[in-house]
Amino acid sequence: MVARSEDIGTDALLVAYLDGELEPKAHEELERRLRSDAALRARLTELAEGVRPIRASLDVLLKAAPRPRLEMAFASAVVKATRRDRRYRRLLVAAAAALLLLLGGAAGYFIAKPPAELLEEAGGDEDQWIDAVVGQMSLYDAASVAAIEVDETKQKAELAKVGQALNLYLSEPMVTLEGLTLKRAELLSFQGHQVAQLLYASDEHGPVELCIMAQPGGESEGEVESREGLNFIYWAAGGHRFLLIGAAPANRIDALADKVAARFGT
Amino acid sequence: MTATAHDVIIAELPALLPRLWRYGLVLSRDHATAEDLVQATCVRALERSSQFAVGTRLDRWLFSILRSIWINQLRAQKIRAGHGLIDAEEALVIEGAEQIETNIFAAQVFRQVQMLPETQRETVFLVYVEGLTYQEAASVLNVPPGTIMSRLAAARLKLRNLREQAGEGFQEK
Repeated sequence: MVARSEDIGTDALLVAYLDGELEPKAHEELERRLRSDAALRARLTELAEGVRPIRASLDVLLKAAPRPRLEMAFASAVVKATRRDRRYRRLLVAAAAALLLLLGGAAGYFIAKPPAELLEEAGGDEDQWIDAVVGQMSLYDAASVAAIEVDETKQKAELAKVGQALNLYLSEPMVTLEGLTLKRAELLSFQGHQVAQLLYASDEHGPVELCIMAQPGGESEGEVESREGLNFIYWAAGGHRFLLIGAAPANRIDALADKVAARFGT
Repeated sequence: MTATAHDVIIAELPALLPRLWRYGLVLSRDHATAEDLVQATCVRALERSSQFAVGTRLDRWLFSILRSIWINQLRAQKIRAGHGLIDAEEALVIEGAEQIETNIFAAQVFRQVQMLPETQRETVFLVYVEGLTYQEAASVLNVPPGTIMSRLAAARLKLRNLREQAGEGFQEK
């Protein structure tokens, strides 16, 4: 209900009347005026556009909503939020990751800008870092990653910036992997440590990611493991920790890791 | 045990996703941006769950958040990128031949609504589609109720003009 009728212009008054938003007194008063004022009645007719077609048209639009992708967006927001809440962490992250994978098959959802905070968490062991990356990777699908457009100049700049932050020389030969196309190089953060994240697309299998964390220590060698449908391997060398992960067969991950380890090994 | 705001949001937000997307589409007139808006809204809603008063309307609260993200972040980006109107028919593609007849008319109406200037468009949307009262719309849009009324009046006249230009005889069903 609105304020007194003398506070607003005639058109606004008539519209409020049409929408049933006038106080009873103002409503009655206007009806009286309309009865005797032909010009006012004419103006009312001009304004009296039916709103039902607008409502009906926009309701049709609801059916066109891309529900799986929206649900994916919601699930990823929940994962991100629960990562910050230690009470829920393990249990809900696992449940959410499973939900994401369930939706992921048909959904084709891709987050254009993975939040750096996705990797932030307190704690210290290998497992949590891997958990976080697994959670993030499960949001990606082959088609959307393949569709990322690469600007060569921009990518060179990104690699330079990322390499500098990690004290690594990330030249093109260093990051080129056979059968893979580098789509994105980003600098993220995990527990205060810088993490280089290189995202690759593949024609043959799902996306692959190489993560390099600036932190010494950790296991020096690894074997391919599997989690949430992704294969991965991690190792440490020269003051950095490496994680290679992807929706690719285990032997492929293994072979790629060999290459990377040979290039970056001390 | 009473539900926390966080619990309520987790439980009730999924059902509201299509309406949030629709609002994002009306504001941005771009499919990709609409999805970005929904995602950003989900994140912020969970981050700010303590600000939601359990028992009040979750949809109104989420609309405010979505709008705020649009105004403060994505609108400037989109203007720079030079996106135009989305194709009305494209937005209304739905399976089922029986829908087609309804859709052509719906597409016309939708296109006309999308031609309104942003302030009129979102006021029409909130009041006439989402059914907010003038007071509720004034709250979401941060304007006095008088402004809501004058926008609706201007929008009605503009839609009438658009319909006349399109040569449509108008019938209220």
